Amino acid sequence: MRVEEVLLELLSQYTPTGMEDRLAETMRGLARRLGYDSIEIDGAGNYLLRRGRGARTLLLAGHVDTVPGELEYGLRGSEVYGRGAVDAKGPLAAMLVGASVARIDPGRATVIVAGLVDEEGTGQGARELLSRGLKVDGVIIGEPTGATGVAVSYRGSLTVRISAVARGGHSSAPYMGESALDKLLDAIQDIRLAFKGRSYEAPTSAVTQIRAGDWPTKLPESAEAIVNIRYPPGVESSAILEKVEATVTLHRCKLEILDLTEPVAASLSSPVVRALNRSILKHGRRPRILKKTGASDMNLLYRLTRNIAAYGPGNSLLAHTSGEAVSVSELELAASVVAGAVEEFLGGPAT
Amino acid sequence: MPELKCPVCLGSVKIPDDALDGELFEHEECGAQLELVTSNGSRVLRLAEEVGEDWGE
Repeated sequence: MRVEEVLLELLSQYTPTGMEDRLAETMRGLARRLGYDSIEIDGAGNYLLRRGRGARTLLLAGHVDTVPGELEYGLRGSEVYGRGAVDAKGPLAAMLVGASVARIDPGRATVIVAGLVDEEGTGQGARELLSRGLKVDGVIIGEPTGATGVAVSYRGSLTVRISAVARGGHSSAPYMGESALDKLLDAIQDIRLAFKGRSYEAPTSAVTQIRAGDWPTKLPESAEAIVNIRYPPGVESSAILEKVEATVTLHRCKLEILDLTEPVAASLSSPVVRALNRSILKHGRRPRILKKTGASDMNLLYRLTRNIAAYGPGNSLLAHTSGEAVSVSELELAASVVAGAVEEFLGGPAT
Repeated sequence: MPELKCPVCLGSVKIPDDALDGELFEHEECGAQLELVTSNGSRVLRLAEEVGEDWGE
C-alpha cells in the first residue's frame, strides 16, 4: 500500500482523545493488508501490530488520538490534509508502511508498531505499556520532526493549580479588606520571575488559566490559577517543585500538583538514534538533531529503555492547527527512512 | 573499532567500523556532540552543528 493511502484511511475516522476505538476496523484492515502477523487491542485500547517472533525487539510508538476539532480530510495536489495529518497520523502511517516492508529475520527479531491512545491527554496508552512491563530493546516515537529530523530530547513539564482564599471586602476601600486575587497574583508574579527563561535550556513558566471574583465591586474571596512550568534535562523536578512550594507558602496560597512529567534526553551514540541517522544518510540526506520544547510519550516510554528517539514526517508548527497537512513526498521519504532504521536496528534479513 | 580525537577535549572517541560520513556521535567523557567527516583522505571528528529547537507535544 502507498503511504498516503494508509494516512487517508487513518484520517477517515475522527479520533479525538477518548474516541480512539473508532479506528478498530481500520487498523484491523491495515494490519491484514500490510502483512502484519498479528494485531492486538490491549486493555487501554492501544493497537499493537507485530511482525516477527524473535527476541530483539523494536517498538515504533505512534498515537491514534488527535486534539479535538474535526476537519475535512483528503488529498489536495501533492498534500494530504486533515485533523492529525501532522500530529500524529502522518508519522504513524510512515511507521506502518516502513515496518511492513523492512527486511528483517522474523526468527531473530520483532518489530511492533503501536497506535497508542490518549497521547494528547495524560498518556494512558503509554502508561499501559509501562504497567504491563513490555520488553523492548529500542523505541522510536512517532511525532512530526520532518523526514530528516530526529528528536533526542524533550523538556519536562510541571502543571500546578494555585489557589487562594481571603475575607474579601469592598473595592472602594481595598486597603481595609483582603483580596484572594491579590494574594494569587503576588504568588504568580514571583513564580514568573523565578522561571522566566526564553530558550530551551532555561526553565519557563506560563499562566494558562485564572479565575477570581463574582462582582465588579467585591474583593474576591477566592481565586485560582493554573501554571505550567517547562524545564530541560539536567534540571531536577524536585528543585522546581521546592521553589514553587516555597513561593506559594510565602503568599499564603495552596498548591495542587496536576501533572509532573520528567524530561528525557537520549545520547546521539545510542543504537536507535544511530539507526535513524544512518538511514537518513543512506537516503542522501543530512540528519537534523532536534530537541523539543514540549513533551510527548517519549517522556514516559524512556522508562522502557533509554535507547529512544522521536521521528516522523510533518512540520510541527502545523500540529494542533486547522492547517494540518503533509506532502506525499515527505511521507514516502519518512516511510523509507523508517524501513531503513528498522533494518539497521534489527540487523536485516536472514543470510 | 578506530579511535579518533575529540576536537573539544582532545580525548579519545571510539567509532564503530561501519560508521558513515556525516554520522553523529556523543563523546561520553565531555558530552561534545561530534560529526564524522573525511578530510584530506582521513576520518576526523568535528563539532556537530548546533542541535535545533523544535516545539510540539
